[in-house]
Amino acid sequence: MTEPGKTLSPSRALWTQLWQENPIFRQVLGICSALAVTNLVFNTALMCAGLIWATTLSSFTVSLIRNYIPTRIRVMVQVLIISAYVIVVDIAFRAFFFEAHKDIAAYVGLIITNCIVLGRLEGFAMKNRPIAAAADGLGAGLGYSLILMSIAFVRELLGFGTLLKNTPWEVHLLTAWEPGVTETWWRNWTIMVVPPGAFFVLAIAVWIARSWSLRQEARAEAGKPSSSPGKPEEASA
Amino acid sequence: MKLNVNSPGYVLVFAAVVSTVFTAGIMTLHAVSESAATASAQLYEQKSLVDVFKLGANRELGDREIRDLYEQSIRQLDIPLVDPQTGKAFNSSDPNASPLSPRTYVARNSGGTIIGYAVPVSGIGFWSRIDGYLAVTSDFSTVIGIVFTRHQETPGLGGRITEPRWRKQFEGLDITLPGADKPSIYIGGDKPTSDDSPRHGRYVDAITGATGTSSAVNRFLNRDIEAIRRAAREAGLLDNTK
Repeated sequence: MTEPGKTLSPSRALWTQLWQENPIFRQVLGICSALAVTNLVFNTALMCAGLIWATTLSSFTVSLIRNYIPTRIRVMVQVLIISAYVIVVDIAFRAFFFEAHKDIAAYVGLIITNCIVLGRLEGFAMKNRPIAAAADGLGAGLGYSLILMSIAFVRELLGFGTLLKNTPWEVHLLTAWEPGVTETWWRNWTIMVVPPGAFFVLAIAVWIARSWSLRQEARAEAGKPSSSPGKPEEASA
Repeated sequence: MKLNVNSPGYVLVFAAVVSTVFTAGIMTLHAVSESAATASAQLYEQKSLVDVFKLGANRELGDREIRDLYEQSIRQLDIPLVDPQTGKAFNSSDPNASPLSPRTYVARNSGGTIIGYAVPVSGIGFWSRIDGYLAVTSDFSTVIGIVFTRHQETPGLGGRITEPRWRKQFEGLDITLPGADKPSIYIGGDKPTSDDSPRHGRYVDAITGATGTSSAVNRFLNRDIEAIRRAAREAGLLDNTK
């Protein structure tokens, strides 16, 4: 976490959230939606777009008015701002992605209570300048999307044998194209389609990402032993 | 001048201003997008109908083509279609009826001959209500196609009822009057082995791992097919002996 008083440059804030303190695999936040919506790549992409929009703009807005928000009602104000942006997403999805909206409508609404968004507002936007706050929100959104899209890729491929199912860009990688043909060498993994499948893929994704980034950090520290000791403490969901 | 952001008066004014500004913004956006949302919902309905009547290979059609195909060939049925036994309505011919009321659609070819009817079917699935259209030929003897427009079944299991691969099995299904006490169609169970089996021409494979959804669909489709037959007789679309 950022120490109070210390300001980060926008690019630094973005990178920190995107990778070093990735919301999913370092802070373990926002897991609920990671489990629920990641069985189709397209739905996941919409969900990620919604979250990126909500974290970036609500961080920007909160930071813009941070000096005017009364401390006692700050969380209410933050939630109000988040809800406003999330409702915008919901309206846009209903108008332009009607079929996908039917599947993910419930989860889009839940972005409001997504721990990542409120966490960034409380942890960063309330103390930093608008541009840095927007970059921090964008980084958190992108960091979330990075992991979710990888999970969705694996789940849809193994669970349905396709990619971008239910869109004009649908690709059948493992199953047959012809509606009548049912006999192929591939058998879909139903476990990947239902929410428990996400537990496995998420755990594996977190494992890979963490062991990689830990190794990188260890190497960086071995290179210059005089640098700041240890990595920041991790929060849990 | 230093503002005391924690004085009660300021807190109240701030809360009121922030709420008003954001609520007004959302309300404006909602009003502006209302027509786009309605158009999307309508297009989805038209797409389902074009699909159920097999008017085009659904996947390659653009929004414009779907709208054109719909306008050319599909109209709402102009007479009421009500099952006299249960009172279930399949078509409300009142033009002022709510958009949620059931509607039956007629498809005609370019010569004006009726290709068939798309009748709304619905029932309780494994989790929740399933809605769809069953398209039948003009003599109510054969299924043209089926489409499910709304459902909450488990994705990848019961949710596969929407997949073209499963729905394709319904095409050409015999729904003429079955023998006494026999269902019109069979979803799952034994495959018909001979031509004189009651299941012959009336059988559809169930979905593996979704027995609950398959039997629910079987139950409400059989119920609705019988009701549709009675309603069609009542409306004079079908001979009394059939």
